[in-house]
Amino acid sequence: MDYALHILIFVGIYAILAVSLDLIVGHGGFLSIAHGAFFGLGAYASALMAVQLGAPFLVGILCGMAVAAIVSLLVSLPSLRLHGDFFVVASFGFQIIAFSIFNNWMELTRGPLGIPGIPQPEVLGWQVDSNVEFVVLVTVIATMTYLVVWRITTSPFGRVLHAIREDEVVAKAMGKNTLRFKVTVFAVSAALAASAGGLYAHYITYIDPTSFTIMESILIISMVIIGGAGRLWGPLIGAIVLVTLPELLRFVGLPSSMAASVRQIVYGVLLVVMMMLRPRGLVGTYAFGR
Amino acid sequence: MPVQFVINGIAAGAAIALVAMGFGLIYTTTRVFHMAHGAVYLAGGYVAYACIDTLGLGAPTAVCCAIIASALLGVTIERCFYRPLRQKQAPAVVVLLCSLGLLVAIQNLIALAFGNQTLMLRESGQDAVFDVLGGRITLPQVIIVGVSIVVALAMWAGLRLTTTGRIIRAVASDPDLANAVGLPRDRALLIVAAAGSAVAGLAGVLVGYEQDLTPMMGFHGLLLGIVAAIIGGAGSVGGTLLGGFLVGLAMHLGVWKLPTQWQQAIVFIVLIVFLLTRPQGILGKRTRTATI
Repeated sequence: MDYALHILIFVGIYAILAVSLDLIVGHGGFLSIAHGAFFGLGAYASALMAVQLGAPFLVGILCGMAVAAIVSLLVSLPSLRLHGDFFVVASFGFQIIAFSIFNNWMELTRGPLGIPGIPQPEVLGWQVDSNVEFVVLVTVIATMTYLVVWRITTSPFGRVLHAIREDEVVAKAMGKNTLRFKVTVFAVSAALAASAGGLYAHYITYIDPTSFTIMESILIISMVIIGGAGRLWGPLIGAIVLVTLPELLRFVGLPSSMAASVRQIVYGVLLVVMMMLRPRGLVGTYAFGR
Repeated sequence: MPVQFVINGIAAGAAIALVAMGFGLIYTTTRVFHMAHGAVYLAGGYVAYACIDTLGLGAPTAVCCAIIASALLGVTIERCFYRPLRQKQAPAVVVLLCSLGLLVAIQNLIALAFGNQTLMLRESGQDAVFDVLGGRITLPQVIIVGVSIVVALAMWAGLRLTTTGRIIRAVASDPDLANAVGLPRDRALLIVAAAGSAVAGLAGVLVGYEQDLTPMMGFHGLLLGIVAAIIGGAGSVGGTLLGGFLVGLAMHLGVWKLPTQWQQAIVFIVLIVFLLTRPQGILGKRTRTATI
């Protein structure tokens, strides 16, 4: 039972990550492979706040979101002027720089040793210390994330975003400052990813850089693409599929040294198959057309 | 001693340039952002390892096998994945994601077959060492630098001086027009995939020979190669070679002052500076007009 709850918590955390990335990919129409970095920023910021300063859970998470949003400007302001493939490479580059910092800034992050002893969350006097309670907490935060994304995408702001996705020149001709829209949505998306990072850190109670590698970014983008970009429940379905599918491998009884590789092969093959047969994903509405 | 850093940088840069030249050739001609190139590069090294270690073949045979296997892998990817997507007129992002999926799948298949540990292509030991201006350069390093220059010259000559090269350049500049005037577009793309992949396979063998092999090499080699291709100007063979050397030098001169683990970060900071100030690269002409 605890195992099922554990899976449920991970589905929730990844659903937050995937739906926030979908803001950029499915609604903004530009591909970013750096979400693992923002996930990590949130995790490190809230873990350090809690361990070093004894800050409460909510303060830590909010700080993480603020840090991620500010750092996202460093990435998006220069690189969103780039187009298509070049932006993808720049986002890759940022992911690698971020991992280097997590892994090498010993004084702050303790590098590969990681940060142990992150306290379990306490929200306004409610001590969350069982998996059942944690499922409730994750569900609440995931629901809030979904409401935020839903509100953004159905607002006039979201309509401009869709216009940029379909044809940036037309959006510009309508007098919209497209760079400002893209930078804003990138910051919102980074902040939402950071909230998932805070949840992750306080759930596992230990973080190290290996959780925030480029493979993590590829996993999150796969969830968006396989579930379906541009539709609210697409990333949720992607998160459910990609979190539970590898768990099935556990019952096949693979040795753990092979399990990691097999899991990656599953992601890779799924990505290829979807792109060949159904690029819009399982339930998506947007297939990256011009 | 800076001379030593320069020598190491040039040797590392030569290997990066080999990956970059293959990537640049395929990218400019097929317009596919060929992430799976990293898998082809990795396959080259591991095929050579399997030939030497498992089958007990000699080094020259192993190198030939590796190059042929890489070329075949590249052609298979072009024929079975990129061509159908092209026929469906799939958007560039879809092809890129397909390629990324191939890279992840193949790299991990190799990890599954050979394990995640570091493998050596030869007995580690004494290489012939030459003294150059107070620095030391090993025989494998000399070979890598030599091969990269020869490959660059061959690629330049192949593209500029032969009929096939002219067809390839025509396809690169406008695939549909080339097709419309009766040039064998699909065959040109297969030739490009084979040639670019063969060079990548060779790079995999040489890096495995000079250093060692791990499955993660696929991703890292690819990213460095892409950076070199962008910095140099993907359309220009000479520029790409220069870009490779520049990336290698940046990595190794950075290590002179900073701890080694920051190497990758340095490379990507150089990349971002280039993307912002000179996105067409050192020798590149203006890239395809911005597709806003």
